[in-house]
Amino acid sequence: MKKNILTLLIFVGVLLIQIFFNEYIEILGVKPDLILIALLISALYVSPVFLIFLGFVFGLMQDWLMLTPLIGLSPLLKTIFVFTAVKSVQKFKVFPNIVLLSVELLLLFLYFVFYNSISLLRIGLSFSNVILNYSIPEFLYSGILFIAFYYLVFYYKKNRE
Amino acid sequence: MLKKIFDYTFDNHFSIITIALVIISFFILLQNNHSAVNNIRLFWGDAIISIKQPIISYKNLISASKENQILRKKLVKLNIKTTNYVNLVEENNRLREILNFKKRSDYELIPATILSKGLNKNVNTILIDKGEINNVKKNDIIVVPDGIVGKVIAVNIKTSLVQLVTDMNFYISAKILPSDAKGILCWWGGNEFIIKDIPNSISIKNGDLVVTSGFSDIYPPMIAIGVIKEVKNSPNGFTYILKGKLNVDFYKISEVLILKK
Repeated sequence: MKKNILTLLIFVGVLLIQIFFNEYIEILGVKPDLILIALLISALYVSPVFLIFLGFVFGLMQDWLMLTPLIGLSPLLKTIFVFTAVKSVQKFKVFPNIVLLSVELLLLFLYFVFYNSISLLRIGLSFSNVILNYSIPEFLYSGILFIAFYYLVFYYKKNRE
Repeated sequence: MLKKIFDYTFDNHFSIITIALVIISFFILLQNNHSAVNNIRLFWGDAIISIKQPIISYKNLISASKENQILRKKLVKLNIKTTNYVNLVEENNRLREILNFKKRSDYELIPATILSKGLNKNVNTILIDKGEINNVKKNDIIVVPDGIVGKVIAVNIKTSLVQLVTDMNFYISAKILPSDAKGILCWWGGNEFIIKDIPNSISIKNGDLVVTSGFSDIYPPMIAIGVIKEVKNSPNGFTYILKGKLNVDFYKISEVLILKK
């Protein structure tokens, strides 16, 4: 219970950073999806059912508050990707694990591919344009942050033990 | 039987919850054009304005000194230009009087600060800190010195939601200078736009300016939009497909002007 409340507070903090400091963390127009990073990191230690609700609720809040083009797309993809992340964590139990890290990075990349494809292909942009100009830059920025937090959580856990 | 169902539900509760949430998300996704969606966005806008305003003010204060230096240099240059301009306006008014032209209507400019931009690179709406109390109305035009930014699509008490030119549903009647060719312009990803169905008998080249045509109740004429950067013949052989670059860098703007008649 205490762990869940702490996780919820962290998510609220991450959402506030994403809302109020979004312009300050962007690089060349590319902004990381901090909620997605937090969800993938949380998949390592938070209970799956609680996490799936977090994915849905915070995805929806992100859509409402961040003026995203399609409201409902973030909770939809985040719910599906959190489910996949939880399943992969259950499969590769040992943390840190290079395979698990790779799977989570792949999920991160696929999230941006799906998100940008659904948002942008409907206006007639080519798939390669969407991948090169949108998905890859967003993945690289979010991916670097994800790896940093992944090992930060690992060292924090190791020190506590 | 009931026990079996209960056991199955209990064993697979994680998957069942996931499926339920996915269905709810789908339902919300299908309701995107509902007016309630914009209303909730605007409600949030009014709520955050008091929190975000000090952050923006602090940021502005930091950049003010740097901007001040640049503006001082520009001021000197502008003073020189203004002298010439005043002469030209006087001459223009004199000539207009001679030709019996009506005086062109003036526009009021209200400065506004952007409170929120979209999360992704494909930003298509922004929230500004001016609303009903500042006399902002639906369909008011939003500009920056470089050109058109978008139009107000929803107004709340203290904030307004602006649809940017970079929205897939944003279409604008545009004119290409100097040829005067007119067509419908729409966004084409990133900072690019596309204009189709312009007869290829008209001479258009890279670098031609694109401005608003004025064939609209909403957009006044001659507001800069961008420049042509690619002229291609369409497959039918009779018309052009024109690609261009928008003047406004939507990732960098933090302040805008509301253009009011």
